[in-house]
Amino acid sequence: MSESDSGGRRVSPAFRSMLRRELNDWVDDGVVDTDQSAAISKRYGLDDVAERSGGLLVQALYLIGAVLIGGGAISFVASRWDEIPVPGRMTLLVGTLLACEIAGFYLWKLSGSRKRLGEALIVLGALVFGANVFLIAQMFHLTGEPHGAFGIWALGSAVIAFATMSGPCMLVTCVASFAWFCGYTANNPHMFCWYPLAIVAVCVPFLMRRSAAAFAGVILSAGAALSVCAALDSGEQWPPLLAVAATATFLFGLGLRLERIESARLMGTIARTVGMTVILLLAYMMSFEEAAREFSKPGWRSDGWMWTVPLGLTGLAAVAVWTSVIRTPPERTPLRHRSIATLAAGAVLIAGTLAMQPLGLPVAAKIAAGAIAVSLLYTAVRVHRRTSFWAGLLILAWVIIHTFIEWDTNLFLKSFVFIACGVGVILGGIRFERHLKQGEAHNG
Amino acid sequence: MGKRSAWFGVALLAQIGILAALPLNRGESGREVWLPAKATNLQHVMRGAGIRIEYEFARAEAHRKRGETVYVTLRLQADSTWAVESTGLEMPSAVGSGEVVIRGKTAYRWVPVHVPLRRDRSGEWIADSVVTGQEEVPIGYGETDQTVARGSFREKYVNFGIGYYHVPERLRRQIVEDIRRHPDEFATLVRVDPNGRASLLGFRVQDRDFRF
Repeated sequence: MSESDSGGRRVSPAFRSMLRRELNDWVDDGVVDTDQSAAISKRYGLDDVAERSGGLLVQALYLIGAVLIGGGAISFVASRWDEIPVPGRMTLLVGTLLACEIAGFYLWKLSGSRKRLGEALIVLGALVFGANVFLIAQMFHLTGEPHGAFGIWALGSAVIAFATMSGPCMLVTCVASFAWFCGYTANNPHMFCWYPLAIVAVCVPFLMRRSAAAFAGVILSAGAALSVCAALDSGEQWPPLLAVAATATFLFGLGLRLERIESARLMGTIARTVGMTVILLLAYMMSFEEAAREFSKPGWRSDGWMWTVPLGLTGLAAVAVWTSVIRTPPERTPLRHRSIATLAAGAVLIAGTLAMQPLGLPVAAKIAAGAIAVSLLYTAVRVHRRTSFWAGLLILAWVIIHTFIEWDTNLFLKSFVFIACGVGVILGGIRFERHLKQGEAHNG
Repeated sequence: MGKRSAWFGVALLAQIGILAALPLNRGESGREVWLPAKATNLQHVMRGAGIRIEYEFARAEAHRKRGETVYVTLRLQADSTWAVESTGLEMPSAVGSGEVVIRGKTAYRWVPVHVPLRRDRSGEWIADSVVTGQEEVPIGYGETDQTVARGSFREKYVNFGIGYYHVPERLRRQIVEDIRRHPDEFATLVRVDPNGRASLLGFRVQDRDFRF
C-alpha cells in the first residue's frame, strides 16, 4: 500500500491509538477476524503508533531523568568545589564528560542494547560539556562576555550532535547558540541578522532525518531570533511584533504541510501547535489597548533594516506553504477550517501591526482570537469534539468580556452583553451536549 | 561501525581540545592593579549569586555607540588610587609607568530605581531618597502612609568583563557581612595585559583579601 493510500494520513494520532486498543476487543468479540484486524492495522499503521508513542515516552523519561541527575550531580560537586584542587577539578570535569558520552555511544550505537538510555547519556554529555565551560571559565577567571561561553557550548554540543546524529543534542545546540546570539546581538545589534538562516542551515541534516527534537530546537531558536533581530536592529517596538505574527503564521502553515508526510507528521504537529499558541498569545497581549498603544508609535521607523532580509525570506516561505495549503487543503475537516481561521488571524495581526494605529492593533488582536474561536466551535459541531467546543467558547467569551470591560461603554449595555454571554454559554453548551448525544445515538 | 566510531572519537577529541584550550585564553602576563569598586547585589549573593561589581570609570560617555570598543587609561594617584586619565577608541601608543590601559565595550544595562515615599500630615507625598542600581532596597517599607515606587532606566556603560566574581558557599555570609560593614573599602584585584584585556583575580574588603 502506498503512503498516499494509507488511512493513517487522514486520521489523528489519537484516533489511531484508540483504534488500536479497540481492535483487540473486536477480535476477541468476533466482530472482525484476525485477517481483517491485520488489514485494518496495516491500513492505519497501528503497530507504528504503539512503537512511536511508547518510545517517545521512554525517551522523554530518560531525558528528564538525565537532566535531573545531571543537575543533582552538579549541585553536589559545587557544594565542595572550592575544596578540590584544580587538577582534581579538571579530572572530574573531563572524566564525567567522557563517562557520559562513551557509555552513551556504547549503549546506543555499538551494543544497541539500550538505545534510548544511550542517547539520553549523550545528551547529558552535551549538558555536562556546557557546565564544564562555565566552571572552567570561573575556575581560571577567564575574561570576556558571558554569552561567549554559550557560543563555545553550542560548538561542543554541535560536534557531538553531528558525530552521533542525535536530535536532542542538536536541540541543546540550538538553545545554547540562541543564548549566544542574544548576547552577541545585544552588543552588536546591526551585525548578525543571519543567525536564523545559519541555524536552519546547520540543522538541515537532522531535518532530513525527520528529527522532531532538532526541528523543535530550530523553530524555537530561529523563530525567536527573528524577533530579537527585528527588535535590536530596528530599535523600535513594531518590528518584533511583525516578526512574531509572520513567523507564527508561517509555522502553522508549515505544520499543515508537514503533517501530510507520514514520516514528518510529528514535526508538523509541533510546528502547528507552536504557531497556534504564539498567535493566541500575541492576540492576547495585543488585545490590551494600553500595551498596544506602547507598540503603535506612528511611522515605520527603524535604525537598521537588515532584519527585513531574514523576515522577508520567512514571509516568502509563508506565502509558499500557504499557497500549497490553499491549493490542497488538509483532509481532516477540523484542520481545514482552523487553517483558514489561523491564516486570517495571522494576516489581521500583521495588518494591525503595520497600521500603526493605537486602536488598530487591539481590534486586530480581538478579531484574530475571535476567528480562531469560531473555527474551533465550528470544528466541534462538525466532528463532535468536546475539547474544541469548550476551548472555542472560552476564547470567544474572553474576547467579548474583555472588550466590554476595557471599552468605556455604559453599564446598561455592559449588563446586556454579559447576560447575553451567560445565556449563550449555557444554551450553546446544552445544545452542543445534545448534539453529541444525538451523534452517538446515530452511530449506535 | 568503524567509521561511526572514528567520527565519535574525533568529536570527543574536539570537545576535550575546546575545554583544554579555554585556560589558554587566560592572560598570564600583565600588570596587577587594585581598583576601587562597589559591590552592588549583596541581597542576591546571599541567595547564591556571585558579586556584581561596578566601577566608577565604567561610565560611558553619552555619545558612545553600543558595541564600540573603548580604551580607558587610568593613572595612579598620589593616594594610591587610580583615576581616569583619558578615554578613546584607539589603544594609546605610549603608556607611562604609572598608567594602565583597560579595554572594554560599550553596552546597555537596565538599572533598577527605588524611591521610598511617605505621606506627611498635609497629605503630600515626600521622597526620602532615591536608590539606584542593585543596592539593597528597603523591603520592609510597608507601614501606613509609606510605599516604595519602583522603576528602571536604561544606562550606557563600558563593559570590561570584570564585573562579576563567584563566591564560595561557605564564605558567603562572612564576605557579605564584611562588605556591608565596610562598603567604601572594597577593591578588586585586576590583571591587565598589554592589549588592555582585563581579568578579575580577586577582591579586598578593608585589609582582607579574597581570591578563589
